[in-house]
Amino acid sequence: MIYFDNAATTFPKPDTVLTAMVQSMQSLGANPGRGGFAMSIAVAEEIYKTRETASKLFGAAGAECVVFTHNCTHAINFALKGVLKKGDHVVVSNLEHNAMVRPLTALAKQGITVDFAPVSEGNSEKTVQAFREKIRPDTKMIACMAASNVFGIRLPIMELGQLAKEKNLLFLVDSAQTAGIIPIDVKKCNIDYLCMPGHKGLYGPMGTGILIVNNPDQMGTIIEGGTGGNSDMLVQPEYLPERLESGTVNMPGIIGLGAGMNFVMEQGMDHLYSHEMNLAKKAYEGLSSMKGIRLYTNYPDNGAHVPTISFNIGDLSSSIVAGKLGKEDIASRSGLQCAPVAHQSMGTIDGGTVRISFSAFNTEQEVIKFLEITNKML
Amino acid sequence: MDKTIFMLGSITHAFKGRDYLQAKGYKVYVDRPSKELDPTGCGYVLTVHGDFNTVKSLLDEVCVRIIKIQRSDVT
Repeated sequence: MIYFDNAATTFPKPDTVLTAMVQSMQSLGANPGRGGFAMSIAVAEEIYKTRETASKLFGAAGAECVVFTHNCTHAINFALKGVLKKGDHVVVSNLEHNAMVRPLTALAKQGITVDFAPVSEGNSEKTVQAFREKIRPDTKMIACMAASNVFGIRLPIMELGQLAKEKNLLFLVDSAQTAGIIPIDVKKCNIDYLCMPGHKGLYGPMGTGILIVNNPDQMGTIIEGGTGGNSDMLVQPEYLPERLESGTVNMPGIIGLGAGMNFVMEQGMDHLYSHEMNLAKKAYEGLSSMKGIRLYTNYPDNGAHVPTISFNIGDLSSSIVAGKLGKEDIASRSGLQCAPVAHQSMGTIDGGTVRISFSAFNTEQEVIKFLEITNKML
Repeated sequence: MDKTIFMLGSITHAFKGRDYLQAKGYKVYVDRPSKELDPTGCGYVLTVHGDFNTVKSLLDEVCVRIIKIQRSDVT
């Protein structure tokens, strides 16, 4: 199988991830942070190591600022719903995933308003200006993705962080498509809440995500429960990460995520990004040379894109094309990719696109094979 | 030499404090609290050998959340 649906979840995972998870289930099966016996302490230690790894990877103030979630959507919900109050206004991009748009739509019922700033592909200045123009006196937060899950267009996170700081706004970043391939430092980028999945570019298993909290002061809870400490108190602890981590955590998932992050660090984000972008460039070159292929972005540029390409073949439905690729054992993604706002913005809302996206394990030969098969569909 | 037991909010804070103090050369370990320190039987403690004020300020420096302190002189 040629797996080009890595923007949804990376596959395969490194062997080290599988090994770490199996070993954790075999020998570290106790509930972490609850018991005083050796196994409980040992498993808590492994989870702590994963927090430390994430903390170092994303420039958090400390391991306690790393909150484990079920996925990126869960992290975004925590940050939006834990912070925003009636009367607050939020500026988001016009490429957002439903992970951002749906919670904000739900919050609209509580009196929170949203404006969409248009992203200009490859033009940071224009994008930042668009965000600036949407800021109002009641704006509380800038919330955006680091890169589009459909079109691979990157947003100028560093510059938007500077804008947020200048305007004294909170800054939330959805790094679903960049975590593991593009370094983001929460302090340098002035990010208050960095949300990410564990199962994409960080190569952990599904069911894992991370919320890095760089500004705990304004953060309320949306879930409360047991945390393993201060059990005599009927209220949630004030300190992180327990404040936001109620109930038993996904121990094998977190340990697998730790192994995934170690894989990323061993490979190097620069190397992974360069490898995947080379594949995206090859695919783009091949597709753009075929008559009848519609592409929606410029040639992939290392500063302006992530390795994700959307296309269509003439007037064929994206699901038909993805289905034909599937029959040839090529995994792609059709439709709206959970991002109707992005498709509306790019003029592809009617039918969506076929999306291909790459990982560390894809090869140039796979891209060549994909291009040969696609060419036969024309 | 002082021996201090710091009752901490969670095991995450216990490990953070332990690693930081160990890196500074302190003898330190993580354990469960005594009934005297925490009648609920929950939580974790950090037992540290070293000057109390210095250790306390080091833990404060890295924002380790201390719930309770028990001091004793073991010299």
